[in-house]
Amino acid sequence: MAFSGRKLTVKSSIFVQLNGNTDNHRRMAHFHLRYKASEVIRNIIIEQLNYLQIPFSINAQNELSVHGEITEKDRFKIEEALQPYGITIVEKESDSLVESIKYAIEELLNSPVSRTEKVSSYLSRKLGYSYSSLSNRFSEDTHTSIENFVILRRIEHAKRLMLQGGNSLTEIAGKLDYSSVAHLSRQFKKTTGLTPTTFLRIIERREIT
Amino acid sequence: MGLFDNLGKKKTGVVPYVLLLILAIVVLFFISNASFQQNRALRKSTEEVAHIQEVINEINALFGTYSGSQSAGIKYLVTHDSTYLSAIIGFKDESKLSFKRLQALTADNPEQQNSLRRSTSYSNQLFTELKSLDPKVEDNLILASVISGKIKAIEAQLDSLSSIRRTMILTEKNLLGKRMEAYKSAMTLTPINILYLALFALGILMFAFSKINSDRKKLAVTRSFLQNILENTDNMVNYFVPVTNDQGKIIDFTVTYVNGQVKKLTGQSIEDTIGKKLSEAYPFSVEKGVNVLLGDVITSGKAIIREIKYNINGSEKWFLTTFSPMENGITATSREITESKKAETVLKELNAKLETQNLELERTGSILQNMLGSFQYVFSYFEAVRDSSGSIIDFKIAYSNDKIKEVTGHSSREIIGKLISEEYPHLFDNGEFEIYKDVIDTSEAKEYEREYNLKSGHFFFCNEVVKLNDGVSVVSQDITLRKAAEKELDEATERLALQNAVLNDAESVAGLGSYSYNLDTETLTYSDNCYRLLGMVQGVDTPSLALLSSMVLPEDKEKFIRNVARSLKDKKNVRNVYRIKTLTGAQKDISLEGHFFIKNDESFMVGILRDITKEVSNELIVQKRNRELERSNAELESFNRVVSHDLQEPLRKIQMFISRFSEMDKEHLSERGQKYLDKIEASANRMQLLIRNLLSYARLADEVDSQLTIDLNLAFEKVLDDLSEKIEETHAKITIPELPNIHGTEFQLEQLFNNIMSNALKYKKHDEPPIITVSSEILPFNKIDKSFNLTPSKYVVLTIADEGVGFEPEQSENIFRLFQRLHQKNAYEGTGLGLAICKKIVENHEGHITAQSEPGKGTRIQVYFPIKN
Amino acid sequence: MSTSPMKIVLVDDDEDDRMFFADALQEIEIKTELMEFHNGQEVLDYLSETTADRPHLIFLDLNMPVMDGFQCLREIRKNPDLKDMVVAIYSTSSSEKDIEETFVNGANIYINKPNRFEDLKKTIGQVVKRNWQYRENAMDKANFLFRI
Repeated sequence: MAFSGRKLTVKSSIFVQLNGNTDNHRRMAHFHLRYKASEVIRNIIIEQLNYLQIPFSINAQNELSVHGEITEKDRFKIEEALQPYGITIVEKESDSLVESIKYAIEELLNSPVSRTEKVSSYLSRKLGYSYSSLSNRFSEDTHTSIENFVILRRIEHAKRLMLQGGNSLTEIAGKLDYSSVAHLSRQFKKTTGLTPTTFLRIIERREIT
Repeated sequence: MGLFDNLGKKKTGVVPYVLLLILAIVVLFFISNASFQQNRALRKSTEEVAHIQEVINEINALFGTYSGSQSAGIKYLVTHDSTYLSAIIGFKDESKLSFKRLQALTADNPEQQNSLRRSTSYSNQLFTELKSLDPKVEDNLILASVISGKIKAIEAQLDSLSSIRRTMILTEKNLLGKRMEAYKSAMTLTPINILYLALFALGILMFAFSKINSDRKKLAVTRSFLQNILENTDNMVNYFVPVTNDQGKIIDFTVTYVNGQVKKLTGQSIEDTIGKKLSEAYPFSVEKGVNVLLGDVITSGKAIIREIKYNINGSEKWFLTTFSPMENGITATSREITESKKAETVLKELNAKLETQNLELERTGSILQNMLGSFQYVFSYFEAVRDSSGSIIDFKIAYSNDKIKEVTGHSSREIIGKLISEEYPHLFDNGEFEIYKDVIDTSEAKEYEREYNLKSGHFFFCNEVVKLNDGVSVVSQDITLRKAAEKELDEATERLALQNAVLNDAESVAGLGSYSYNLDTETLTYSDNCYRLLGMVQGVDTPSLALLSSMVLPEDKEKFIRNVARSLKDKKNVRNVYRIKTLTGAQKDISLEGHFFIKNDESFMVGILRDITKEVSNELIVQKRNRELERSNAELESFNRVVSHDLQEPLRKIQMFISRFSEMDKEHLSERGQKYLDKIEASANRMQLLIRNLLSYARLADEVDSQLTIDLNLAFEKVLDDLSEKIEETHAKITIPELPNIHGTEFQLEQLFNNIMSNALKYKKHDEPPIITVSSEILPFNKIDKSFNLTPSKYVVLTIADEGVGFEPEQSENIFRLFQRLHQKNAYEGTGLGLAICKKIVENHEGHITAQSEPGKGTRIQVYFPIKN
Repeated sequence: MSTSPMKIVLVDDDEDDRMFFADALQEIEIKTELMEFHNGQEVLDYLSETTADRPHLIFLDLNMPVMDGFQCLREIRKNPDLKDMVVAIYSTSSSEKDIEETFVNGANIYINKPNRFEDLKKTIGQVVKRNWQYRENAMDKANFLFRI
């Protein structure tokens, strides 16, 4: 992770900077530090895993691969060793659930029939989890609520349809199950800060230049 | 015409009918012959059949006697009744008679004769056997076996006879069959066929008859028509038969036919004329040698046409006569042509006169000569055609010269004799027909010009119409070219006059003078105004290059001399500006323009001298002003930049620091310090608002481009969205109906409605939630106050009414001015720019905004937007 | 460490603004790494030198010495190597015309510099989150446009 060459005025601890944790305002004397954050992290991990004598490799995406069998105990040990540095192991399982939610939302938006079912009940029916647990998992992972994500995706679909041409706003509103063009326009404006017309005009002008 | 068509067909039409008639007769002959033949065959057949029947009867009779005698014999043998024997004798006698008859009947048939001969021996034997039964031999009678032998012998004879009989009857029947065959073969035509043929023939007869009959009728009509023509024609028709002397030499002619014209032309009756000699009937013709002419026609057998002038009863008459040989004599068809002869003479004279004129004209100037060369004369003589009441209904083209062909495309030969209604129907439309009539009625000649759009082109003619007998002579002169030339000349003159007028005015108005310089003679001439411009006096000061050069100020003199020398040498068009001091001492800026041209081998430079003193000074002023404007624009631009960025930046930072400070350390400040901090924040916020409004006001001018169709519903939706916080806070009740689309700039309109709506929310009554009602209507232009000075169009009028505090009605204009605040500064927050911005936005949209209010009664803002297509 | 921090670049000549920005960035929930540059030229130099580890998001002020934000934006879009980067214009200008021009010239996001720190925090948070959404969900970058 060669995010290097950084000049930084350090006002708080490195951990605060990296974690975005607002609670710690530990003041320090004014001096400059030069460091490569990725190397710091990498070195910590290497140091800790070497200490635990576990064979491993780390790729550029910060994916840690442990060679050979790993026991629950080993796994706990790794977590314990990295935890003081604010480094946690991501459950692959959780990822796939979030992916499933996204996939289900995508399916919902692509279905041509009018939807009477609420998104929440649709998702819990489809994925077999309570909506609150889905919602929590989703927010934890994506920094956004399922509702917001649905809106975002819907607007993305609307944009795509608008750019395809041949669709009036009324038709797009109908396809994406908006109650009216006004509703679509309002949500578009709220989400993008632009009206659909301005959006289209900008894209058209971009294509010209 | 139809009549003549039939006449023409008559001769060729008869032949088929005659052929048809012959055919019908042939058919009928054939039918009667066939019928006769068949009849005969039938009769013969009937006779033969009767004969055969007779023969058969006789055969039966003969052989009946044989069988009768046989049965009598047998009966005798059985009964021994002697009466039977006597019966046999009777049968024998009878058979002899029958035999003879049969022999006679079949005399022509050897076969039957042969059979008869054969039957003789059997019948003799039969009768011999029967005779042996005689009573004389009764005693030595009679053994049964003998009797049976006898019977057998008799029966054997009879059998033989019966077989002969069958043969004979068979022969007769065969004969009958043959006869029938023969009869059938003779019946070549069945009765039905005969009937058909007869009907066919009848049909032909009837058809041919009707045709011939109708032809005959037509012929009669034609004949009477021709007779009628002959009687009523203007032509006199005579038939002369030569009278010869003993030597066979023609010495005179007899008039054997003459039509009714003779009376009209010679005053003699038909009766008096027919039968008379030529020398007696028409002595005047002999004077002219007509008798010799007739003799020539007889000997040559060729027709002769002659125009001959006769002196009939003291008056001279011209006749055009056609002498044609016909059978033994000569037909002479004469037409009186005295009138046309006279007309011709007149026309010839006219022609001669015109030709003289032409010659004279030819002698005039060369241009005229060319023009005249292309002039054309059309001479026509139209004879009046009158109806029964004597009024003129048409004209007959009696004469036209060949020039007409160039005009109408028809040669004079084609049109002579036709009516003008056929040939020149336009004469009825353009009033010329009436002119002709007038000329005839009044005997006054008329001359007029007319335009014709004929197939062959567009013509202008000058027509001279003169009465001539019962008709008019029309001399038409093609003046198309002259007209065009005239028109051009008129236009050119007009143009020139106009140009002169304009030029004169223009010279003095524009401070122009014109000059002309002859390069060869080195003479310079000035226009009136040119003298004035240079302070020269006409007649006193003489224009010259040297004088002009002396006027040029020293600093420009070198340039002047150089330019003049060069332009005179190169003969190039020039334009230069010089400063001069006129003879009156005035200093002027003049512009000199020149163009070269060559006329009559002399080179000229003509041009314009223009006083541009004012322009030069004006230009200097304008340049100065432009520079000032540019500077001021640049200043404004930099002011905008200062306001938008440089001024906003520190302010934003102040606000930022305040917010940072309040967030982090406000609680550490004293109460007063906290209050001051709030004040600082409020002032900074207000300043920011002010700057923003000012900026958006300033920007409005240069952001008017890209007008689009705007859905007002969406615009209001956005405005309500933006103001949602305020709306919720004040519990405002807002009613917005379905609004139309208008043409405009999206964000400007949003800002407009935002300002209006936020005013309505802001200036609410203290203790009441604001009630805002939006409505829209479309007004035609005539319903809109003229004082708004709007461009004609339909308008969308939006009304935004609130029930807020309102303002004094007399303020309704002021509130749209910059920094105009109606309320105490602290009572309502605001910058005094909101409505000014609104006004500017509406003006950008070519619309109008008004405000009506009364204190405490709310405000009605009305916005007018044109409906653009 | 659940995900790698989002790499963010801020290009602004104003020191105070950079300070406010960095402070605000620290207080949002998504983990970020910030690099700061003083004008368009500086950031272009940096980007052309470094081929790996491209920043996820560039905040670009418009009014700057040496090379202004407009020019910098155009250069980025012109460069086939850089043209897919997400650029957020971070400016005081509120002229609608300017805003549309930046979008037409390839900006993805337009942010008006707020007047209050709270607003700044909120705005940066939204932008970073939204960008994260786009990145994580492989949404169409060409249509990624929004303004705050």
